[in-house]
Amino acid sequence: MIDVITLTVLQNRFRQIAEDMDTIFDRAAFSPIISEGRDRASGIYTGDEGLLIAQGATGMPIHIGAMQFGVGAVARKAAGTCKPGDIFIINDPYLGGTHLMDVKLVMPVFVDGELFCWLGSSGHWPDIGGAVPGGYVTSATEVQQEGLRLGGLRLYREGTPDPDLLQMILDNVRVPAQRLGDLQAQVASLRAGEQELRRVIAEYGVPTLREAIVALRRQSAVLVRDMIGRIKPGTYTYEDAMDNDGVVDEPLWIRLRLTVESERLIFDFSESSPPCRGPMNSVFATTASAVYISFKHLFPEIPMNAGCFEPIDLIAPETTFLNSQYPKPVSGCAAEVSQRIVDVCFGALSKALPERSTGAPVGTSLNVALGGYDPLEDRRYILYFYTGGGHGGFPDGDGISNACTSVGLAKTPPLEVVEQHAPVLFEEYALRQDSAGAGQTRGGLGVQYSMRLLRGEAYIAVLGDRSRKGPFGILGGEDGAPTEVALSLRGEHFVPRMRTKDGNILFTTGDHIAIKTPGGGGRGDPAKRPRDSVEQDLRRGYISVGSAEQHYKARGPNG
Amino acid sequence: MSWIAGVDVGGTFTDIVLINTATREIRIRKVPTTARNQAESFLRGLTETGDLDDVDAIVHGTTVGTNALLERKGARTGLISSKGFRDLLELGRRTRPNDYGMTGTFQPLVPREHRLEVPERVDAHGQQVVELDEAALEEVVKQLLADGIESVAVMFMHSYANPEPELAAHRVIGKLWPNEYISLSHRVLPEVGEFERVTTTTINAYLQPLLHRYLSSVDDRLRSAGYTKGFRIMQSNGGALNVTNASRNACRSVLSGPAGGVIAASWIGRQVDADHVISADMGGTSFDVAVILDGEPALSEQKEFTYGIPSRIPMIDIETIGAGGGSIIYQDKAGILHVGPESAGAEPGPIAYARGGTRATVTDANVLLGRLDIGNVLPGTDSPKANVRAAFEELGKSLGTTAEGAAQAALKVIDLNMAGAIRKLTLERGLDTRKFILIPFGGAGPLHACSIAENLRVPRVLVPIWPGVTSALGCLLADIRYDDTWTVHQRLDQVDAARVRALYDRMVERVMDVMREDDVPKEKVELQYEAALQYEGQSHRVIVTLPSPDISVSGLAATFANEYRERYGVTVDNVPVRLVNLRVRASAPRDIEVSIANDTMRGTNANGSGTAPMFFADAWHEAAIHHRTSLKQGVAVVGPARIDQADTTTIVPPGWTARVDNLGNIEITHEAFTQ
Repeated sequence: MIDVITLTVLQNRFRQIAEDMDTIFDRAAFSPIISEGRDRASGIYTGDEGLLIAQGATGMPIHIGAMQFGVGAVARKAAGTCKPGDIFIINDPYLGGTHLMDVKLVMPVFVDGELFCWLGSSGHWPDIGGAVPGGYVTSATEVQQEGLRLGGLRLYREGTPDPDLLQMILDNVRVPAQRLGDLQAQVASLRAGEQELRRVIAEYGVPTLREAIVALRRQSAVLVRDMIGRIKPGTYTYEDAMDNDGVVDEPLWIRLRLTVESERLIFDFSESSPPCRGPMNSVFATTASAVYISFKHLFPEIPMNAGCFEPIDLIAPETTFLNSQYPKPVSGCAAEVSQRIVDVCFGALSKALPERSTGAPVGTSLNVALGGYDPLEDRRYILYFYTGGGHGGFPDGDGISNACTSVGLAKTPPLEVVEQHAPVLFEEYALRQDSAGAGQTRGGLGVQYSMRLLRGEAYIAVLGDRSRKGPFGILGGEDGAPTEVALSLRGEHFVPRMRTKDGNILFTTGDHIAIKTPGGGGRGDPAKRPRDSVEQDLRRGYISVGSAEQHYKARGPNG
Repeated sequence: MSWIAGVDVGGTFTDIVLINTATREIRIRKVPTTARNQAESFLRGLTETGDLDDVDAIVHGTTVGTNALLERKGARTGLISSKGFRDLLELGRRTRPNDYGMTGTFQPLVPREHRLEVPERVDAHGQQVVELDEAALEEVVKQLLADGIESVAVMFMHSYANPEPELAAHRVIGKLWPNEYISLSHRVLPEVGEFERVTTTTINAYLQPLLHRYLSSVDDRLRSAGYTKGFRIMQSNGGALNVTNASRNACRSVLSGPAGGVIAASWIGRQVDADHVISADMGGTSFDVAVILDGEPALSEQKEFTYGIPSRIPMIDIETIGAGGGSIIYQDKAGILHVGPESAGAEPGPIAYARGGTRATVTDANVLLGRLDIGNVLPGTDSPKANVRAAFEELGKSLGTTAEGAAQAALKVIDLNMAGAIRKLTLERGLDTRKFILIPFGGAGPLHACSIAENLRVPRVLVPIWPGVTSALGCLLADIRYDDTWTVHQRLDQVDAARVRALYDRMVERVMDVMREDDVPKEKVELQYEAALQYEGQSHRVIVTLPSPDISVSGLAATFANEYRERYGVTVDNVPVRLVNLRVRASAPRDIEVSIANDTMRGTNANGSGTAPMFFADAWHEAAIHHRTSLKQGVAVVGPARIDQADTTTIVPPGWTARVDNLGNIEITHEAFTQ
């Protein structure tokens, strides 16, 4: 039996190796979404099945659960044939991926000629080919329109890149020099991880490490079972919906039946809507990852490894849009659908574990892409913008305003930098009054902004959600305000065809887009909110007098 | 008689170091900090250590700013912004306090009711899109004054590209405002990035009245005690400025205390000709590390002192983690061992302090393993050794080991965490830890240094003479220094060299104003021109030093490419280069050359004062015990050994050998790492 002390030390060492890999990836990457937005993760996985051993603390949540599926796919495919120095590239959604933009590099580590483990590096490339820059094709009906699909191909053979495959990839992505930089950053991080891992191997030997890996997994499973033990057994249902799939304006329902047994959680999504025509399909790895994220948010103290997933059963049949198959388009899965899956898990768990639960968070990133030509500077530009919204009210306080989504950690770019890159002017960027769901503790506030095109022409695309219904409140708390998207084109009011999703909208000088993002759901009966908190909200303009009267039965200062 | 004084006021102790510039005599002193008014312990400690009439210069490290920021005890502050943007301070950049767990709150430094807007807007090119409405501004100012606001921050969009509207606003506000507490964003930080700029400007406004009052009171007391010479305040960038400058630039002294320690470490490193130094300060609750490259502390451009409040000024890059002597050792539900970040602090403190502490800490682990003699830390304390042992026996039972095994494991975990913090700093810069020496200080640093060094394969550890007062020593070593930056944020191939020159000229004017205020004659100011560049898309920047403010675009591109290749071993083709910002570093070196007499620590004893049992690598050893002041220079002390002194304990583990060098430092080397 391996002792706890060795386990403790090895758990720290493994985590540090993954964090070293993250640091090196950040430093060397050429995409701001990786280097600044930290839309990436690194991890160590078992040699046999590619099960998660350790990941860095700052890994992007949505990558965390999904990566072991991708590594597992490579392990199954290449375990018998791979050699030291090989590196595989995979982004196939149906082979354990998310959207195509999340590119994983996977490298085997051998000890004395025997496969010991895999190292994985996943990063969101800002482009992977496809119909539009950035990969979010709101009207896509097949995955081919979304970009290049790579199914675990041997990109490096025994330490040397395969020039033909590399060229094929670079020939099919936009701004290839920067993508090559991202790829090299991932390779550098894998190699640094290997070097550090070899020190640990030399110190402890493979048999001890193997034993430790199994024991650590068992311990995480113990912790998770212990946590499950605090949840009231029973069956809980919750449902919520995506606005639509971007192609057909009908809600896509996520219906969860959560069964809490003494040491097991069963998440059954069988009753959810069937696969959709547009890009709001999810794939199994993404759905699973979203479920794990919801659990991790409720129990952040548990260290992540494959053991955490053992007591969690997931049922998501191929008849639902949460386990879609080739060639269904999937670009909305990681960014948007995954958020709603987390919401629904939160909703069901709020009935089972009310003392830890929070109102639903914002639930959409409201991605806006603008591509155009600036006549003053004589150049083409592409601008991506996204926003946060309110977190839900939590047991000890009000939700944060303009918070990041539940599945991400990416910061928004500075407005002044956006205005330097593209001929746009923000007229407002502010807290959205009356957006927070009322409650004993209320939600955080959403954001409202308005952006005008100063020069030339552009095409604008929007990919968001949460316009039919705002983030839900719990335990008597009220919903946050839903998303609002409105454009002014040549003086005419325009609403996106699919409410929160549309593409190829011609944007000319003087046109503008105004977006209001959701506030978080409230928690608990608003009538129980302390008087002075309501008054403070009024004084700060977080709520209007009308809203205070309606939701809190409070009078305004002059009322 | 000419003495110079460094005074570092921390939360618990005020440290004083005096050095005689003629005789090189050094005097040190530690007095308890008077929490109510730090000026009291400052004056008392100083006058007890030396005669003010003989002192030529005093430099002060203070935590007044840090504490006010962390405890939210700054001035009642207002914020005036361009219309549509008053919420920037609260919106942040879409983050949350914890990566996991959808909980946590955030209170901006200025609540929304004191954030007001005026019609005004400049675009990214610096063109005025909306003129400043001065009448509206007057109304806004009157409203803030009516609300009892003492200090005001002004933040207009793109003010780095066109400061005129902020200057115009200053004229309007200045007519009505009763004091000088007006912070303009382009003065505080002329850089692109509205959130970081507004936050930094607000920090400045929030701290300025407080710092001004505190520093003025210290200054008044010094003057009424008859002191007539220079009194300066340690800045976060490792330089020192006088009271007027330090108050006006209040946001620049938030790291005042820790910066002193790093400056001392870099000075010590230069004396032993070490190019690269890791400065590691371990106290009771936190571990502060920094890297020093070629004698200069590495700077960072931004630090988030507390969630949602980043400060973006040039400052020493200090990484802090919750690891110290007071860090609490515990097991989680799955049996995994954790050490920190929670600390027992000074009260109740470790079990061994006999002040009511009941939870095992890092200090207790060191006591149990014979690495720390409580009699040395707290003379006269009757240390409850049985309680310490009982705590680790209980832990050991649950871990399946002995009390010693449990204590050893806890130290291993905390040493690993501290090594991790250092590795992060070096990895981010593409540096190899094997090329560094480690300078540990603070009460607990020299206890853990060799173990951390082993982890990082750092071959050499250098324990300074007085590790307990290193920050105060750093204060008196500080140059007068002021750094200024200005945003360019343009692709290098589109940069106009004449515009760069104009920006440099403007910055030189600004830094010269500061130097003049600090009574530095123009000819004594040394200017260093720097530029921060990056490949498009990358987040980290490479800073290159320029021979003059007149750049050539192609020359700068080549310099950057070389520097990048040298540091990261990678050649990058076909990726555009961006000129991020320009920087001018102005410094005026001290008049007085500081050195410490090399006989300060020249003891005569080569044999130590006996042996004591000490636990290393799963076994008890008989370790030599030495006293620092009696240790003979040059004599090898082979580990395992312990070297006691009033302000710290140095541990020499097996495999390491210590020698007192001719400057009084203890140099500890490892046979396996040294070629």
